[in-house]
Amino acid sequence: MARIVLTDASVVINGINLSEFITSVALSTSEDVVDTTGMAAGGARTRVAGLADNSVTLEFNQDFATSAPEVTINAVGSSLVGTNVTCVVKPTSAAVGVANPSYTFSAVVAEWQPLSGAVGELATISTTWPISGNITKAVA
Amino acid sequence: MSYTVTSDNFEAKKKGETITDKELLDLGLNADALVAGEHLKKSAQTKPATVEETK
Repeated sequence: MARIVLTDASVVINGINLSEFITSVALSTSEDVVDTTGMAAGGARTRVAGLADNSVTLEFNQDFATSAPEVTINAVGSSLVGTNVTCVVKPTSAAVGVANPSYTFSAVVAEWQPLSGAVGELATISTTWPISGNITKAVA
Repeated sequence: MSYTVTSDNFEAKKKGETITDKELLDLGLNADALVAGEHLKKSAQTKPATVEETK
C-alpha cells in the first residue's frame, strides 16, 4: 500500500479548479454519539451513532486576478458567500480511481476572508465550511 | 441560455467551448457566480426570425 505525500491535491469549487491556490485541505466527518444507557446496561454506558456532521477546511493563498480565489468565491454581483456550493476534492489531479478517489459535496460558504495577513506576510485565507448532507466518494 | 467558457480553470469544459444552463444545473454549479467571476460569458442569443423576415 503506497503512502501519499500531498503535492498535487485537486480542489474544485463551483467547477473552478483552485488547486494552485490551495495550501491545505482537510475533509472531516464526525458522528453524534447518542447515549442509550438503560438500567440494565451492566454498569457501562451504551451508545449508538447519531447524525453525521461533515466539514471541509481549506487554506488558500489569496489572489485577486482572473480565475483566482477572490473572483471565484466572492465576485462582485454574485458572491458564493452564504450559499451552498458544489466542491470536488481528490488526493491528486489524476483521473478518479481506486487509488485516487473523488469526494463530492455541497459546502455552505459560511465564511470568507478577502484580506488577511500581517506586514511582510503572504495574504492567505483560512476557512472552514460546513457540508450540507453527505460526502459522496467515487472511485470510477 | 448558453455560456462560453472563458477560464482555463473551468473543469467541465475547455476554454472557448459552450455550456448550457441545463448542463450547469446538472453539475450543481452556480452560473451567476461563474459569470460574475468571469469564468463564463453569456453567449449572444440569436433572435428568432419572424414571419415577416422570412418572407
